[in-house]
Amino acid sequence: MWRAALKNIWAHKLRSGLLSLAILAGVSFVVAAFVFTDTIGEAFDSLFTEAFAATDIQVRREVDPELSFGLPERMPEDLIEQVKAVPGVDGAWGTVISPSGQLLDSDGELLPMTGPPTFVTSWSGGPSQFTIREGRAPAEPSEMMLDAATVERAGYAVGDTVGMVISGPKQDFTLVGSLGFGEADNLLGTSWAVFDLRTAQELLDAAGLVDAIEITIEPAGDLDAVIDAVDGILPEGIEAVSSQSVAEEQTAQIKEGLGFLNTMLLAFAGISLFVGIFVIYNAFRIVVAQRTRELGLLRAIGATRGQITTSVLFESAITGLIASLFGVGAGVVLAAMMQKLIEVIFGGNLPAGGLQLQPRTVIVALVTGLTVTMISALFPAIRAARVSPMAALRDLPTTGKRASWRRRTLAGTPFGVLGMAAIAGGLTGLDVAGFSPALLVGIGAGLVFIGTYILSPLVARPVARILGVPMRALSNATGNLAQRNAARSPRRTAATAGALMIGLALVATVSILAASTRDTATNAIEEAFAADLLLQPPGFGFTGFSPDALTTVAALDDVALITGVQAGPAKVLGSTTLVAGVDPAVVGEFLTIETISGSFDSLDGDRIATTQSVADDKGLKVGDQIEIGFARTGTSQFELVSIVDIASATDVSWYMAATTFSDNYIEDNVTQAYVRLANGVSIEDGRTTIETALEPFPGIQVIDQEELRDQISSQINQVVLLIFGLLAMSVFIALIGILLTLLLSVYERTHEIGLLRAVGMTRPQVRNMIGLESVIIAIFGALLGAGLGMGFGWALVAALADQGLELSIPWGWLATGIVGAALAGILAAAWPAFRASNLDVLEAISYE
Amino acid sequence: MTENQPAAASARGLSKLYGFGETAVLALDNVDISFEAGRFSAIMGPSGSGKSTLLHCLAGLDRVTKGQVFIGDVDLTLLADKRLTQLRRDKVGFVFQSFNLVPTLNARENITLPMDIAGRNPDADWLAHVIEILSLEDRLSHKPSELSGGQQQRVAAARALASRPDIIFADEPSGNLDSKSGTQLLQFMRQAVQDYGQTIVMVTHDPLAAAHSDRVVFLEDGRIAGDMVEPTAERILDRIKTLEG
Repeated sequence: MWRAALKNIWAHKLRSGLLSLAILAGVSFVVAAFVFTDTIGEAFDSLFTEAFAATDIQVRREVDPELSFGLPERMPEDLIEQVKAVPGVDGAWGTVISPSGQLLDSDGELLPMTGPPTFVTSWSGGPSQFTIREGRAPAEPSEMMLDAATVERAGYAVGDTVGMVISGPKQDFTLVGSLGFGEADNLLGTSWAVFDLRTAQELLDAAGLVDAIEITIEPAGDLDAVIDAVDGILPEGIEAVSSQSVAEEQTAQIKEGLGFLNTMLLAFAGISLFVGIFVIYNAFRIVVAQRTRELGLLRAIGATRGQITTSVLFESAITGLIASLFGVGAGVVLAAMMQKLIEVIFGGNLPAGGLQLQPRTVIVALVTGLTVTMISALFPAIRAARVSPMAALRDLPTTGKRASWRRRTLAGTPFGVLGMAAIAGGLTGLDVAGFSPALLVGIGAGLVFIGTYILSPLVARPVARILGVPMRALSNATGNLAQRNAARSPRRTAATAGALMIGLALVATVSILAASTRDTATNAIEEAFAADLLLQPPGFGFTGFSPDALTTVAALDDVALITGVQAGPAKVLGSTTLVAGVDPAVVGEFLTIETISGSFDSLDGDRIATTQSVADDKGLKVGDQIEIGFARTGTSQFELVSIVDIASATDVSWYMAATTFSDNYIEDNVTQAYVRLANGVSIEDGRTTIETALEPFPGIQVIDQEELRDQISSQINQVVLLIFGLLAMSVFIALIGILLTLLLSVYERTHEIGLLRAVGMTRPQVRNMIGLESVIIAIFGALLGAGLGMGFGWALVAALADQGLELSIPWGWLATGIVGAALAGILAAAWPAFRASNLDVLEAISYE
Repeated sequence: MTENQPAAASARGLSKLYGFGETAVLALDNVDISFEAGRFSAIMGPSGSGKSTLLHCLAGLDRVTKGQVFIGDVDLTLLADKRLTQLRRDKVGFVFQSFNLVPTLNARENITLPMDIAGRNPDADWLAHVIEILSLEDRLSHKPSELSGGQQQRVAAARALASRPDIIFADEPSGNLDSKSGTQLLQFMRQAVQDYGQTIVMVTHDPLAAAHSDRVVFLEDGRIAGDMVEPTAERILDRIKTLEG
């Protein structure tokens, strides 16, 4: 039996190869996820270990790990002298650091701010994570260094004048040196601007303060003892830790930061494998049906049912194993490509180091690939064993068993209902049986897919007939035959289309979610936004821009009113969210604020406001005490004084007075500012005036409402495109499925195609016939998918309705998806159609 | 053989070689033959005599190694695949031994298939007539799987006749049928020649089937071994015995 199975694989190399491809893609995503994470982890591990090896101990502000999302309060610098006096301490140096620098390149243009931040820090004077590459350390207030990668990216050379925005207007410095981090030129694309301590303190508004003190101990000193000793003299809230453990923390943070990539890759690996299961299942089902006679013969000459099942499973296992091995290779390549991609996106290079292919990765890949393939082949294998020995003697038809409505409905409906229940549960935030809501929604979607997959043969025939109408109009005979072929085995058509359905459903879901988000945001701008112009910081993120810019603009004659909004992360009621600092008296001039209860104007000190949806969600009322944690000031109680309905394009739901915000954040940069122009000043004139006034503050964008809407749209479109790109893999696997089905169908219909050729069908007509059949299958799958996706999208939007999300269906995108699927169907049919049209007519019509 | 009538199909110096080198088999060896229009001709011969190969070459289904093949005055050996396919579609009808019909199409669609492929409308009166004489009126909406073997072959015959081709090639048309259905089919073919002037060339190994024809050509080892006009079953059997003896 084993030999027979192996020979079968070899005899159908092409089919086995295509099957392998369907698994390979998913496995390679899994491998890429692991390899990428391991590689990054390993690289940063060695990088930080090396960088922090220069010092032994770090003194820093103790930070609640829950509040580590922002900058903590600084420490007085006289601690340095106290630390130096501790026995066992050899040297101690203080540094300041902030991630809010903005760099100009050699052409005076702001460097793109879409990537990792630009750090402003000080040259400690002692041993540090930096190694000088070229030049020397800064010594004067006018001098600075940059990391080597940024020097190259910005087109500078040592000796050049470098423009920077730190706080206030642009300032110029002389570049006196470049530096690296051990072997690396760059730390995950971040830029580093290094000044001497006094200058850095002044730039960061931190006179007399430091963020960290780096300590070396005397040779042969006892590290733990010195740490304890240093810790002993430090005031409350400040701690001494070994540099080694700081290195470990930072590595862990980077790994966690990149964890979303890992999760995303694994999610798409899961989708690809799920689609792969459909494709493999369908292919094995068809093959078993076609081999009915041979299986009957095996049974007739004495093979047991168990042996038949095992041989089919064995065949699938070998296919899965080979596919997984190639998948490992493809995954490593994919990981390398991702590394390059990250470098391109972040504009820096990752620490060098070989790709990490750990035994664990290979084992996971092989187990995944094998399991998925064998699960897919299980039912076809059992079906193969049911073949009667009589099949060897009779010529049983391989297709055309009518779908049993009753059985299908009974089997499919529970999956659908259960799936929808799971989705509903997940969306309402239920925590069922330990599954997180997101996982519950995912499982629910999977169940709905399976339910639809089981039920879809019931509609395959009528749908194929309807889709055949335009094709018959196009070309009567070939269109008619294509439609009949697509309808002749509803199970096969539905199963093939099912794989495509999944990809299209996800595309449709993402489209609807994105379109709804976009339209809700842009509508809010349109309806409730009274600003003539907006000031936006360069890029996105929390860098913001200097309040000085606001003062400059406010002083202009053309400007009637301006107010800034600040936003920062905080931990409110146990979860991290964005809070905004506003001027309560003025912000209402620009945003429509409908007070539900309390008084928004009374925001001040510890008095805060929230939105109605949050208040409803958490059951809050005016007068409640709210616990908020800030990175700088820790956790304290605030009083809820107002509940409002506020139409804004941002998803901020907690508001406090600007003064409260400044007290709790190190940086008080403005995230967005609204401008009303003086009477009679046109938008264009006002914009020109403001832009001219803001020349010392490069990078601040002055935009009108329409541009804001465009910006929001284009940001959302970018995210959508990225997701579409990743989903393309699952669509690709589905196309392999169509290709496989058509190849097997052409093989099965050899005789029939020969007959058609004999009675006068030309080769192009044969190709059209196969192509149109493929188009019918593809559109069927796309329609099912688009339908499901619209359902999912609607459910998601409905679940988010309390956050103001309104349903918007992007018909254009959906239509594009369906037309794209049809075109892809033609593509998938190319090869089977070519084979069909090149059949030897005589051989095809000769009797067996 | 009457030379004054135009030939519906003919071969000149036709040779067909299968395979290469030592294993090559000469299926047809310099065959000269022509089939008159308006007659029912049969090709007979033992297995491996080359009779099916001759039919396939004449019908433009197989390529010849040497020589020329004509349908009317068109030399098939000069045609590319596309023209050859169109010629089969427009000028030639086929009845094979089995698997004659497209399983997804019903009887009517199978009958009009060549014309549908060509994008032509069938002659409605003629079509109705053909269906009537083959007694297929109440079978038209049936799929092939719902038809008996005899009905299937009658549908195939109707398809071959419906487009009024210049010539119909039949390859053992009654080979898979019981004797009653077979005789019925052959009688119909006879009728088509007699009443409507249809030209039919049929390959068979059955003397009873061949007896329905106007003329029998005997083939042996790829060569013409005999030619009999106005055959009867007994004469054919005698001839076969002499050939084998």
